[in-house]
Amino acid sequence: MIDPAHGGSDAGAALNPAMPEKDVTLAFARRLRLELNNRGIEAGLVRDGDNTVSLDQRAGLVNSAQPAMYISLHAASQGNGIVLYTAMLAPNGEDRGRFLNWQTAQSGSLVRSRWAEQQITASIQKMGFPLRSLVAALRPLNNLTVPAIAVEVAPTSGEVSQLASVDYQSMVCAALASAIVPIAPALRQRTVP
Amino acid sequence: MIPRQWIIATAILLALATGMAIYLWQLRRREVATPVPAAAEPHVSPPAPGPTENVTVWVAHDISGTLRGQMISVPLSSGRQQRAEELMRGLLSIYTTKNSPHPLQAGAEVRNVYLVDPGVAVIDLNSAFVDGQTSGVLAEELTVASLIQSLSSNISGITKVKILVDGKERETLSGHADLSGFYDVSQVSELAEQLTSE
Repeated sequence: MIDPAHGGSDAGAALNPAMPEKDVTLAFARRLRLELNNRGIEAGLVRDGDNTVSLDQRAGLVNSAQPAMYISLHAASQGNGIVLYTAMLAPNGEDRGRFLNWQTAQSGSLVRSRWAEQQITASIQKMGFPLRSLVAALRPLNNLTVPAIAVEVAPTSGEVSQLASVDYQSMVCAALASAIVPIAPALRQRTVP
Repeated sequence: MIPRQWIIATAILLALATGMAIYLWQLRRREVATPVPAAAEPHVSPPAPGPTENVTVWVAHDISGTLRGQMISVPLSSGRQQRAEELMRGLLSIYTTKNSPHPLQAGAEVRNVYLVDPGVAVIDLNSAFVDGQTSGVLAEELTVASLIQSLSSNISGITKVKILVDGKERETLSGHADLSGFYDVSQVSELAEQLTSE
């Protein structure tokens, strides 16, 4: 499931006066869905319009749907290329059966989240695209019970307008989709470490 | 007929009361006559420079998206609390100078640092600090990691850090970095290591 961050009353960062982050994330999310669908992977969006969805609502939707993987999309004016994030938590922190701590619900899936992040990182770095992997205190990652990563896309040219370019969006999303395809079966079958 | 001893006791009491009244009147006269010393002038000059120590703070660099250790000189403090405040003051002075590697707007301040036993530190930022913060996951992570890593690497015993804004809880720093909970220092150290190694 792809989650374009922000939306509605939450515009996110003002990447430039005419480019709120919420519009850029939605454009990237639609493009990523297309690239995944073209590769035979079913993908849905948490929001497919300019509507307000709270962080708790996002986590609730995803936890109910139980997708093989959750990808939150952000955009930034600073940086260079892609930064992948996993939750800033200790893995396997709690195992209380059906009753999970909302703030650390991701702990049980964190090993799979980091495995997916490593596979995507390795795959995209092979393409020569600038990419880093970090941990982040970024909601709703902590609240999810499925493998979850966040992706922040920044321009590689130093020009924020690159984020609105269809060519750049296609290149980033094709790279992400190509990296996800080989790991999708393992995530779907929960056979990763 | 009034007993004689009562007359004597009443006379003694009257004499004592008269004596005390005269004594008080004289005290009051003396006080009025004594010039009042001028009010002490407020202490406007900074404290005399004392000994300083060199400490390493972790400074965010926006262009490279990294944290880098930087040595600064802060006044030598006897207590943990004072040392924590001096550290934050020193770090902020880097961010509010011209050509800062991670600019914050003028007026950005750390209002207070509270060290709460056992092992909890609370950093209270002002609204100018967050208003001038660049919005973005990486940009906000750099700020959080810089504050927490600088504090915890120089003040022993801190295991958790809470960040407030104007004394109140806030959901995020500027739309991304989560401020609703406590930061675990060991996890922030992991992030700081990732940010320094890139």
